Amino acid sequence: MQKEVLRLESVSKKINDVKVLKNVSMTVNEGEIVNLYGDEGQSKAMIVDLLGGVFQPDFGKIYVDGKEVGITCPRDGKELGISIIHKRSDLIPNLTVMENLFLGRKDWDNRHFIKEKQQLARTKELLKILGLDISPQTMASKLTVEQVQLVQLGKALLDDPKVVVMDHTNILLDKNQIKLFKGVFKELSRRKVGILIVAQNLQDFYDISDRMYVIKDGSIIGNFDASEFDSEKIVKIIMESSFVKRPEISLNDISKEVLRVENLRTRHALRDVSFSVKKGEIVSITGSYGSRKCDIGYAIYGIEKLTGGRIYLEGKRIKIKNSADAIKNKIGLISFENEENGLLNNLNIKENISMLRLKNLSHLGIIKRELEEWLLKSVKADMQFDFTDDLASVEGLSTADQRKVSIARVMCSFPKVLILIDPTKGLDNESRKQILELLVSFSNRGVSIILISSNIHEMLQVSHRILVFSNNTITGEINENELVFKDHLNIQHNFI
Amino acid sequence: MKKALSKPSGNNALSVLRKGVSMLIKYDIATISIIFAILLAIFIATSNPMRLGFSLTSVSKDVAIFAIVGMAQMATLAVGQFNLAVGAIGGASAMVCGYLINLPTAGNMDVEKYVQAEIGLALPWVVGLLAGLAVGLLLGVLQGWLITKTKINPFIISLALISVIHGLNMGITQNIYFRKLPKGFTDINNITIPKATADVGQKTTFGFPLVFLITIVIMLVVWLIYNRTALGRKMLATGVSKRAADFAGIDSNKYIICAHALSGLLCALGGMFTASKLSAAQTSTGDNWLLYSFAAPILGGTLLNGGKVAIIGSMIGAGIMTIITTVLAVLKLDAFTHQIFIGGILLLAFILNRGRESLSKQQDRALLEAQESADGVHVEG
Amino acid sequence: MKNTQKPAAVEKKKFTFNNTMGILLVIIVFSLLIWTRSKEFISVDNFITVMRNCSVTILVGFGQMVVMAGGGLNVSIGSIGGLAAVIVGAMIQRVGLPWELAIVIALLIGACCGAFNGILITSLGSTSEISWLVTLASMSIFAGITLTITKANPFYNLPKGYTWIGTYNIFGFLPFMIIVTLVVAVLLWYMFKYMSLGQQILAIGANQRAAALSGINVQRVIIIKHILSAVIAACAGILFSTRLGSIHSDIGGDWMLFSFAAPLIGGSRMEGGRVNIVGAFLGGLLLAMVSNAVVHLKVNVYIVEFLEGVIILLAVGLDRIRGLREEHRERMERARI
Repeated sequence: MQKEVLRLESVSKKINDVKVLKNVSMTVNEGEIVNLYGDEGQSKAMIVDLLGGVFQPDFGKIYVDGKEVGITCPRDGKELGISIIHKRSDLIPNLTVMENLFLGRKDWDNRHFIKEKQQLARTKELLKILGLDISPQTMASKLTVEQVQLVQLGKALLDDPKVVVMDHTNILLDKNQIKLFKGVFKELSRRKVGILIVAQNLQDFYDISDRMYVIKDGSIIGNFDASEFDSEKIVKIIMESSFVKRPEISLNDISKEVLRVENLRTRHALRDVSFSVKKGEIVSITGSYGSRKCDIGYAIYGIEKLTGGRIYLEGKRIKIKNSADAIKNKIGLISFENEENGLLNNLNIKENISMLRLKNLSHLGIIKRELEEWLLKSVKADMQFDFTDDLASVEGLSTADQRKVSIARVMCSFPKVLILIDPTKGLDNESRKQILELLVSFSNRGVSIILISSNIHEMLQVSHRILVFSNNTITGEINENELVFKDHLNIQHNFI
Repeated sequence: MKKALSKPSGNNALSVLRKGVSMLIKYDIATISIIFAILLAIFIATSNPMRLGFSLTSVSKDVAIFAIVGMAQMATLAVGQFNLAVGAIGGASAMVCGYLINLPTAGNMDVEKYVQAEIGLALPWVVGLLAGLAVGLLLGVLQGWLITKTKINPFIISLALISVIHGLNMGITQNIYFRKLPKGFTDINNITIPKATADVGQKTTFGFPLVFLITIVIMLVVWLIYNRTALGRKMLATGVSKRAADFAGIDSNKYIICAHALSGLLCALGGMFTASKLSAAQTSTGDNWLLYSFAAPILGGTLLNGGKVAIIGSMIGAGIMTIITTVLAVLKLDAFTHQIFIGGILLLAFILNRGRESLSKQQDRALLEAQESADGVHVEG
Repeated sequence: MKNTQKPAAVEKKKFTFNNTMGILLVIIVFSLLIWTRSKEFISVDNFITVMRNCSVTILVGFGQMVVMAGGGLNVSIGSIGGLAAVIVGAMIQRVGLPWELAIVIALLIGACCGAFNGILITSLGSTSEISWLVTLASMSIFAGITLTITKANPFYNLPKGYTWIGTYNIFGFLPFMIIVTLVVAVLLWYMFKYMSLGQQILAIGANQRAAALSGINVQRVIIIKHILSAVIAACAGILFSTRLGSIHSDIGGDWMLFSFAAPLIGGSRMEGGRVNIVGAFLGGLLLAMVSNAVVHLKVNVYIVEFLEGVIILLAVGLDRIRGLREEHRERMERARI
């Protein structure tokens, strides 16, 4: 078990002036299951990207089977024996499972024609290994989320890899999903395939891992053998220095309800979602990967169409047809996916921030420059942002700065309710703390916040209440009194 | 306008060439202005000096129409869409206007003095003008509404609308011409400031055509809209990414309809300018607009994907197209070679445009986005 | 080679029978309706006419369908068709070649046009907007070349063998032209169903990123599909001229619209990823029948254009509704509601 299949040696990488990886070294041996655990940050994603050929290291080397390699495109990685299972689906929806598995594989096509019989046999074999009880002719579009991941694993297996890298960041899996994966990984390990699980949740593959690396702020701070595992100790190392001052407002102080939703229903994701939020309260909503909890936010904000249910703002019923309506009703949303953060790339910082207040800044339809400048100044003072160049395009900003601009933008419309989706995803510790503290300050000022996230750490730190979303509805609630820090390890397994 | 190339001391030819190429690649207003200036110079040089004034006046009138049609397409490009029905809308507006203002005339088949029978309502030309604009506006709104309300691929809707509108136009009018248009209307094309003369045997003088001046005014208004108003900013935001705009709190559907409405309005104006110029309203108006409607904006630097408009650039682009067309005719090149040239120029402009879109930054981000984009996104239209 | 044992719940992913059945139904009902007004509508002579007309329309539709399947489009189909026809004429009358050779050369030139399109599109980025603009420009260029060759003079007096293709009727009632179209249809069906090239084109149309990650050489496939499209367009142009008896530069001038119409009505997806060959065939047939009916009923001939647009909108709209319902059902199942 000591023959190495994959090694990163002193790898460093800088993106947008941020040192994402600092002198990282790690090894995966034949048949070993290695867990790479770390908190928020771009480091883990970067390692996946380096192995996937999306980026190349600034410094350091990558070795496969002891030989130095360069990975410049996804195909390179595959040819070298590194198979990556991405968290998003790589499957083509209108092709069958079998067709997806064999797409583009030259050795399985007889010159130009498809070798259907052989493919069928191999597919059945693979599906058995994967523990999937589905027909090879099933349409990829009909698979559940975990089935998709497993089929992607199947694709990886077909490459006959030396090492399998699973991108498990930002994913909250339920018990069944995890069981399926564990089974396959154990089998792979038996076949001497090295496995690297890049994870954010400690518990998931804890019990089958042989070793665990812990990465924080871009550096490896720990390399633990299975015998040395102590989850509490590891988590404490990660969480050190990232504590955030809890909200001052306790629920007992205010009881005024600001938002209430009843029996929300959307076409695809929500079936009977009801909850309410009080003024200044921070409510978190969590759920497993693929549960589509974000749709709760989308529905309230008008992006997703509601097919049923009612929304009440301060007791009055409101109808929201699109996001402009939502803003008018003082509801704001920021999602931190690439296109959903509300930032418009063709506009600079100043213009993005003023977007929602343009009517007040215009005279006879023409936007007045002085008024825009004034707005920018007050926002900067209020939120203590400091941008060196207000006329810079938002594209060039670091992730953290982009988030701050997004938040500033929405705050300009003076929302009563702010919905945030994964606000600290991909940030380093320092920025994460800043954003969370910002949220707490908003709460102290009376803004109600709905935080939809997969990051249990941050939820535990700032929420008054946590709601659990699964099976398309709210299935659990943990309130302030029950929130104990240690519980974050258990929350996933008790409620999801 | 002088070229911004200085003569370096050593390696003259190579560095001059390299600088020229890099400037061309940079492709902003400066570049196309220079190209335009060169073309204009060639045009003036190769023209008969006696007819120069008249030629320039005539060219300006053509530029006006190209520019309007180009701006019509630019309006929809701003929100990231195409208006394929530019010609159809232009033709329909021209015919409606024509019908309203045409003088009904009894016809005869006299060999000596043949007079075509005409139908029409002989209303004041202002009424016809407004009606035509209204038609364009309505058709534009229809297109925008169909695109936003039905989730059918906008390209298909626009394509189908070409048939629907053009078919209706042809069907209702039976391909009639309206040739008895009132003088007030045809004067729109004839008025020049200062008054240009085109007397035989005398040196012709140049005057700015009214249509050209109107176009300049429209250009300024459009510039104002996109640069200084919330409406313009939100339209451009919708163009960059409808999804991002939706999340930013912008009612993207409203702005898409606005864009199409503006486009339709401009198409109508183009159609009526054409009718004024020909002194006749024909259903064939707009038949060849499609290529030109894209050529001017692309030459000017407008992005196909939306979010960026080059207004002055489109104007200059229209100027370039017109001069090339006219120069080709003057040089007595095959009328058919036009097509090759126009197509080739469009391609060239597009290639340069793409090259300019910042390369590595986009590629990096595109790769990152490719890793993150949701599954099945390309399956659903 | 093919495994004929298919499990019961097999998905007919490439053929949407709803669409095909729907069009067939419309065709039958339409035929009967028109027949009640004009008895000559259903007759051997009319059958021959309609078959001849639709053979070209359908072929043009196939040319577009191939490109659409991969997520792109090709508006230069008309000019490539015209160019091919004109090349044949020029080869026969100016160079003196036998017409068989002329056809081969014309097809090769068509392939070059396709390669031109494909190479430009892939080097500029391979999106559908880029396809639009490149082929819009190339349409103009090819049309210009066509005009330059003919100098607006048509080619008359084509050899007997050539015009035979367009006028011969097998068994007296089946035009040879439609056989050509049928052969192309079968070849395309085979390609999309059994060849990896066809599958790759559909994969690129469905999800270009995933296709690239699967190891498909996206650029190569796009160039090939444009070449294929151009060759089919060239075929259509040549076929059209065999019937006409003369070759003029107008051929293909109005093809742009109905190149999209037939495939879309038939259920092929504009964004790519799905084709319906039988549907495209029937769609082209329906359009040809509509134009034909208009002549018989002696109504306003311009109505055809209007109807074409309306039919496209209806067909795509219905398809869309059905697609949404399907998707809704799938999501419901997956979300375990």
